[in-house]
Amino acid sequence: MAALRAALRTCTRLGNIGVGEVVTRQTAAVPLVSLCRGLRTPPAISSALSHATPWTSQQEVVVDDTEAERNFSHEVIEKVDKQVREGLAGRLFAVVFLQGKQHLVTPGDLMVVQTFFPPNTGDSLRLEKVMMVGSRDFSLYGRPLLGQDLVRVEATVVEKTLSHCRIYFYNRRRKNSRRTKFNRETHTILRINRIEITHGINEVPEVTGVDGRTL
Amino acid sequence: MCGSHALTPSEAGPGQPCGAADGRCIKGGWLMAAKLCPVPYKSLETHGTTQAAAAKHGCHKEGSLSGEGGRQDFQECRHPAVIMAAALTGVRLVLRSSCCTTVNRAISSSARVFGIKSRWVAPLYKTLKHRHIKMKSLGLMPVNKRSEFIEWNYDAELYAFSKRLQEEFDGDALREALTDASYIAKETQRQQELGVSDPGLAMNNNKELAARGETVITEYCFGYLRAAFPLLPEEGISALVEYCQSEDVMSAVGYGIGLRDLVLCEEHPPSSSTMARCFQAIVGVLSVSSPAPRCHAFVRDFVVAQLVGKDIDTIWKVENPMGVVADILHQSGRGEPEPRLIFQSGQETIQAVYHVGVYSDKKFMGSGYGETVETAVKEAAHDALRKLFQITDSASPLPFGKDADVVPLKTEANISLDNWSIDKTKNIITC
Amino acid sequence: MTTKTWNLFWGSNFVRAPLQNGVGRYVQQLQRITFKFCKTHGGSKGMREYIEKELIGFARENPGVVVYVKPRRHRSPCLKAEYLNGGEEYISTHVNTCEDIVKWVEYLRGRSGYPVERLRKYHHTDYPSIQGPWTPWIHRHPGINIKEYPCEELSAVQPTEISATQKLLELYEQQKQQQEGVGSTTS
Repeated sequence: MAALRAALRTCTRLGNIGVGEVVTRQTAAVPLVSLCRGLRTPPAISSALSHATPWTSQQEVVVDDTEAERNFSHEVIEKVDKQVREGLAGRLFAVVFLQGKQHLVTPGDLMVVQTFFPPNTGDSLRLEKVMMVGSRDFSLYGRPLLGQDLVRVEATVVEKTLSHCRIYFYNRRRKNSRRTKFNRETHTILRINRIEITHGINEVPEVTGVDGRTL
Repeated sequence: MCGSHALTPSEAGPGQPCGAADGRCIKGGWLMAAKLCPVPYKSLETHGTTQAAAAKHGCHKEGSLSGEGGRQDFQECRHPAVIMAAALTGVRLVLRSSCCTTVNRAISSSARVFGIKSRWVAPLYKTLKHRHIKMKSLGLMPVNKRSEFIEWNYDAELYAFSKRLQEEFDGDALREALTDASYIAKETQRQQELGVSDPGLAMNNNKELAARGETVITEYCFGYLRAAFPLLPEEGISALVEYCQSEDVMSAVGYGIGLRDLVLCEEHPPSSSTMARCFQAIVGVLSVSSPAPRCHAFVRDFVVAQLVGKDIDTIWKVENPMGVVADILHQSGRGEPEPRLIFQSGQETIQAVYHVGVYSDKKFMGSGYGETVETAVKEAAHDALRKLFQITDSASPLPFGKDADVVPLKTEANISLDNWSIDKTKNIITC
Repeated sequence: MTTKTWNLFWGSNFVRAPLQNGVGRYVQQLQRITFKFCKTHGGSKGMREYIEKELIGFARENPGVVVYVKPRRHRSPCLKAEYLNGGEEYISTHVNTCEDIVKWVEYLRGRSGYPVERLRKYHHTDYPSIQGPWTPWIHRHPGINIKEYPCEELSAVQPTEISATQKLLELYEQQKQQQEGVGSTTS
């Protein structure tokens, strides 16, 4: 059982937060849906372990586990906060929303913005629309965005150029009508410099949205 | 005879169309060929009118030559320099060889000299272009120094160099850093050949500055990397510093900041050792003229930054990972490492996969995949080491910019691999 | 022109930045630019205007770029840009207006010096997975290893909803219970 649990800890990527025990408990009770999202256990093995058929008609007793759930989430949040505070979170990655597209980035990445983008080369930017941030042990999802001051994603513009020439050829058959268009769209290449979680994930700062500026 | 050519040194000179009977000949630059060719060229006349025209210009020396005579002439002109010149000057030399072949056709015959069967112009052009590129890649084409161009101002280049890197260099020291010993030797020799007995070149080469720069780079890299990888054994740190100090990295950085055109040296393009020395000298200059933090930031941004995205495993190779894991566990007073098969698939096929985990005292340490069990065990041991030393992909990125300014440099050495134990590092093994 | 046709003549490449540019500090990659023009011809009118009006400002804003001006008699004007990685680019500015040249110079200023190629991907990373790559065994229960095959439990059908037969059986059971209930109350 110890080996089994150890292996399970590798499989669930939340081992460090200590949810492994929760998972083993839940697989025995609830076959199809585990309590923790993202920790789904395939139905084949779970039903085989539990020997339960979902459609068995029996009277259900709904237990009020609101308090337990709240405690559990507080516990998880505290563990994430502790990791961030002590600098043990390691490399962070984030999903940023930029010019209509979502980009999965981590420090050191290069990304291309394929539309009109005013910043010039050498400018340092902060990408404010962060949809998700994660590390080895945790993932935080926004609905749809995370708090504006929670995550700080910084980038530098390293190149502004035009794409290769794209040729758009329109032909209307049997109508003696042809058009050829040439287009080079603007490309801005960004280097992601750092991703940082600035405060506790369940805290609300006193002032938001000023981004460190003095008004 | 319509395909034959008259080769006359036309009044217009190179670049102007030469006389061509069939109108298909390529613009004649054969004068250029004649210049390159050490053998005196004899004009060939096969066509009446052009022959007359040539005679009129006074360059018809040997009389009319055709057929046999032409061939003879061609052989005379088939000097290596002509062939080389033909390759160098490309299509302009087509006429040169075409006139000498037995078949009196302009393009096809000349093309046959180059080994092309087609009679058309395009394949010839393609072949010549191809040869041009190939010679360039082989280094047979002469490469002009940028400083030999008319538009060149060394002072302006040096000013822009420092501005580009956002650094303040001491002017004279910078010039010294960019002067290689070979350049001084060459200049001295040249002056002596010109008859100046005492050239009096008041120049210093960059050897001293390079040595100084090398020390600065080594010291900073050690301090920075020890702080950035606190759990990596000293052997690994040394390997990383050695990589940063290697000639490849140093010269690549030198090229990348634009030293190629600025460095004064004998050879062109500058060799990688010259380039590496020159870059180290630049760091040496900076260490003299700027405060230490600024110099350190320069080394960090240009040298240490080359480690970003590199796999540390490939720079520092651990030969026997399982043995190292066993040693570390023994030192830490833990149980022997025990590889166990977690999953396997496709046994006895060419796509077999094994997933092996390494456990110690029934605690998970790392896992790896492989096409055989042995490979998977090795990979798992590597993974366990990566986790112990915290150099996995999920470890913290190297600090740059304002993050790096707050990291103090670490002067004392990291724990060596022989003494490395889990208790000493107080490492929490996370998975 | 389709992608295939493009690849026949021109290459394709991935996103890259020379010398890890931007990781530490940003270094402008344009190292020198040469303005070539004729002093008399009409084709160079825009270029002459640019040199009169804009060039000083450009040089002042970009101290890291060496600017050369090269008048040539009776030749059309062009821009030649040289980059730190050895790349060069010519742009013919024949009969271009001053405003056009401003834009082309701006284009040359921002480039990295790599040739213009089709990009295969618009994103580059050295750390493709931080939480670990997916494998078919992620989230699989290791207990599956010690099962003996054929295994009835594992090979059984896993219904996600109640089948019609099951529903009918349940209805039948319900009716039966109700009837029994009715019968018991009446008796």
